Amino acid sequence: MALPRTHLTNAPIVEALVDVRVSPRPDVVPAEFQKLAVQFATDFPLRAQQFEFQQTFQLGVGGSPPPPSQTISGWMLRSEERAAIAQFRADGFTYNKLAPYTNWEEVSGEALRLWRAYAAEARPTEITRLAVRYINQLLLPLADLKDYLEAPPAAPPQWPKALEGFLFRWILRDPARDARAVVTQTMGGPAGPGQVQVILDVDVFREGHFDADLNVEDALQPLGRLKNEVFFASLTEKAIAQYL
Amino acid sequence: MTLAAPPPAHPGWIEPGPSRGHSKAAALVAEQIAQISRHWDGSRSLSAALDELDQLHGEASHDNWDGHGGHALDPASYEHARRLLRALRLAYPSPEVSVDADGEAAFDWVFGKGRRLAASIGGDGRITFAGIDGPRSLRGTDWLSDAIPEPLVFALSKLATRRS
Repeated sequence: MALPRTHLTNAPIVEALVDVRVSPRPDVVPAEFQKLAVQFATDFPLRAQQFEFQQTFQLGVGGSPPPPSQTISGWMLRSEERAAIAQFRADGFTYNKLAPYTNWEEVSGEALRLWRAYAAEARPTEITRLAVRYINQLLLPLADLKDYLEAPPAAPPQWPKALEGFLFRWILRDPARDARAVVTQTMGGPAGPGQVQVILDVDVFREGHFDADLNVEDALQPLGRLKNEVFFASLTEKAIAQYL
Repeated sequence: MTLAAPPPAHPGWIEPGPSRGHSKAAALVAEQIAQISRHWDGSRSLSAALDELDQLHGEASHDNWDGHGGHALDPASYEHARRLLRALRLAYPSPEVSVDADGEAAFDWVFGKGRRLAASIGGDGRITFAGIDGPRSLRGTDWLSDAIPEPLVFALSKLATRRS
């Protein structure tokens, strides 16, 4: 495994996100999250409502089906350059930071600023899930994956040699932090000759029935550390050297 | 790498679903996981209960569908039940699927004499289950979130692994 670092200058992160799911109060009206769209209009000038569609079908009844119903499920706000997204929904809040990545302090700090505003407006009855997910995209030589990945795809020598795809998914529990890590390693899109894009997706989370006034800042820190531990343990020092 | 022995609460192979990403890489991961799930959908042995549920979804689409005053299958209960079946199917035997009189999807597992478990899935994701394991009774209520509720998995694991 690679030595853990606090920061990589050229981190291969294509998306970092903080996701908080909640039990909504019974009378919450997601359309009212428009107030949050107004409040954050400077940093997130692009906004769109999110909708849920429901269509009812009945068998054996003549005539046309009733038209689908459409309800607002929340608001999605985007920064001017579309690299940051805030989603405010009845069932929770998500902050997505797309490339270019900055650092954990900025991502978690911005997520907390948005979460606090959401929590004040939505007033959920409880928090049911807290997650930190980092998706990394690595460009690696196809023939030497074992030199870069601690858990490279392995195939029996008698299998055909041309590897065109793989998908590994580990669901792991960390009892000490009462957390789970879902680690997905898969082949990404096209790359240059002899090279392959590998996606390393590290999704760490806690689930339960937490008080709505849980200190989310404190709760996120161990998840941030766990995500780092998993990331550096997934790659060799040779792989990390590309991103220093 | 040495893996620790899994806890009795098995979270399922496909669930939990990933947190809500927006990048192309996140979409690719979601699509690849969905592809595997669809691949298993093609297996009759793994999808018999899903097929049964889909059939009931058609039949129980209106009140009094059974001629005994039964409520129509709640669409939200149907969706939750589908997710639960997909998550359970590689780890546990398929249940018998039915619709309760109140319109909730219901599962029934029979593991042998004196060993069975029944669960109903509410439209709000609440799972209520009760069963017997010889002289002992099992019961509980939990919520379907991103993983199969641990009390349900614990009960299923206990019943499925005990020898008759």
